[in-house]
Amino acid sequence: MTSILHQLGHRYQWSLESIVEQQTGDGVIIGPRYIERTKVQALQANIRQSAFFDPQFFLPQSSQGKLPTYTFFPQVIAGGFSTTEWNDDLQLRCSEACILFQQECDFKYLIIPLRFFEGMPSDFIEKQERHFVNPFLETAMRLHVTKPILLQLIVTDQMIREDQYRTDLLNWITSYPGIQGIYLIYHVHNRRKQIDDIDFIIPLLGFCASLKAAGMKVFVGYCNTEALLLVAAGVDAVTMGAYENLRMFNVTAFSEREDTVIRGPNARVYIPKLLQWVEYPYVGAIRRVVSNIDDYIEDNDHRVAMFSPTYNWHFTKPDPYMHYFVAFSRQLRRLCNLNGDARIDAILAECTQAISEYDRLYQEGIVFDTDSAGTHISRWITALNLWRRNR
Amino acid sequence: MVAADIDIRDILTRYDSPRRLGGGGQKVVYAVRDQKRGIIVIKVGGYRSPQALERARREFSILSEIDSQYFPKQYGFEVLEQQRYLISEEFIDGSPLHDHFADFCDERLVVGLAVQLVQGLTELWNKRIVHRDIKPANIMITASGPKIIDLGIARLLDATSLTYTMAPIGPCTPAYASPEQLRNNKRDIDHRSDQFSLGIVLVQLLLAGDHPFDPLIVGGESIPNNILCGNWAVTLLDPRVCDRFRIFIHKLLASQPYLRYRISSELEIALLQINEELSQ
Repeated sequence: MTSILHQLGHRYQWSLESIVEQQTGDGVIIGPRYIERTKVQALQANIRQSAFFDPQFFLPQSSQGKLPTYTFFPQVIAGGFSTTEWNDDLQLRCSEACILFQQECDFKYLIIPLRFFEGMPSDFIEKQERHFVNPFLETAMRLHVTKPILLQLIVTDQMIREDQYRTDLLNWITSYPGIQGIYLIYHVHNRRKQIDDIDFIIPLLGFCASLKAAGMKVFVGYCNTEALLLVAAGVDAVTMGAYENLRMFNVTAFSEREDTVIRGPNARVYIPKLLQWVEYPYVGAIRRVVSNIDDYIEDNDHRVAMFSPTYNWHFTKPDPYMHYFVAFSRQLRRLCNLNGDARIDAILAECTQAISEYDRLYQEGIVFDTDSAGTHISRWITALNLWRRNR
Repeated sequence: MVAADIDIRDILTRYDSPRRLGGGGQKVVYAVRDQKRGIIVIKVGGYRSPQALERARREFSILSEIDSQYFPKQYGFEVLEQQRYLISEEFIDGSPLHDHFADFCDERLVVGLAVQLVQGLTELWNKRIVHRDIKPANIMITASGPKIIDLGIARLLDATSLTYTMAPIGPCTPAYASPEQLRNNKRDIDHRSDQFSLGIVLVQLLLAGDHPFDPLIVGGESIPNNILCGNWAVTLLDPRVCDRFRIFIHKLLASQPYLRYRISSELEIALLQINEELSQ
């Protein structure tokens, strides 16, 4: 059974409200970048106990956002950070503070974080092992941690694409009997809003399926719509998130940068039938040409708000996201209730139907912009077919 | 320093009737008569650095904690002159498995032996030790069951290698080594490497002593080369065993460690299920 987790970040209350009131998720993944420590500690016990905490150690020197409110980052412990000071003692102190925080909050799993590396460094495994896995496991043993342990694996698309690198990762990850599962995050360079690279999707599905075959739990973070594909590989959980930065991992959110004005994305609405987020002006266009808009955008309180003539579309408004939580979680649950080949058949059927819907809308005169179009779907079908044939 | 370089004449004078049992890696091994314990085994090894000595001492200390019917008891660790150390351990009164191939011609008997060997190896693996040299010669059949001997090249997974070597393959017996050992891919060598060697031993029993990667049976250039290519006697094995045991063996002999059993309890469960299938 695949669970649905909400990736929490800015405006995390939307997710909590959606889970409680509309049962759109089975738990949450909490991160320190956007939620300060005291607020995490103040979350209701039942939320914390079904959650896990991503320490977001991606760039250990980072002090972005709320990160400095946590005592386990090296710059907080050591009053600054340089790689030369990243020694055994500091690593053990960081791991102890991080584990104690996770224990204190009584999260469902203990997460061992890894740091982010660009590209495919040849010493990736050695560095992660020395700086994170070994000190964390040693500390977990010393502190008598009883919660199941997940290893966060943050990889680039290049690492997953390359056969030998991927095999090395699999051999490494599965070598720790004390680690029960993986919290997987992928960083895809130059990505579009939808992951559509067949040469990435196929090995990604294979990677997840290999971990499952090795008896590990697999939780995939920062999922966008491709969560629908990942359930084909039988992963234990996929995620939903409100803003795009919770659905597409990007390390720049954790890097120090100049104060630049960042242009917000256009407001978008997720349409399950199209397997796509479309820009809001298309919503009106679709309403004009289809006989039953309910087939595209489910009728609920959030739609009522969005369809109001006075609605001021903006990417910071909650309604499109709250609507997405409901629509996407239903779509996922339908698939997750199926097993094995029936699940894959259903995903393929949804993809095929989406292509038909796009054709139909095109026949009606609607031409979508590149980011709202369905060009990813035929690639998804291809990737799924090829992975299935060779698995 | 290799075994051949170690002069132990001064040590042997301490004991009565020393008998050389072998030597390999960095150690020489003798059976000797000890006044207090009777016949014991002594292993004399050489070291090049204080760190290497410390590691040898640590490995002895960890092995001493294993109080198991499947391993010889460890008696003592002594540092000697000339950068040598001595380990004394229980003498195993039995004969190696390769003298008993005919006794394990039945699938049930092989499964029974596998259960015991997995139980023994699990005690090592739980301490993050890899034997690295599982082979018929290192499995002694005694009146009280199998004993796994010669942890001379056993390795602690969190320790650096005792010997700096430029050798193309790591310490092992090539005919029973896993692909990662043959490639000397140290990062991938862990408890799952022992699973591969165990797989070879079990199939060899089922084939009445024939090595499953032997070029005479499956073609190819050599046993190590066949191991690297995954070329083994699948067609000979498969008709002789039940489905579950076939799956078990194929998993042990998988080319990559991640395709083998991740945790030892999975091995034990699999063997339990095989026993169930065989008893139906």
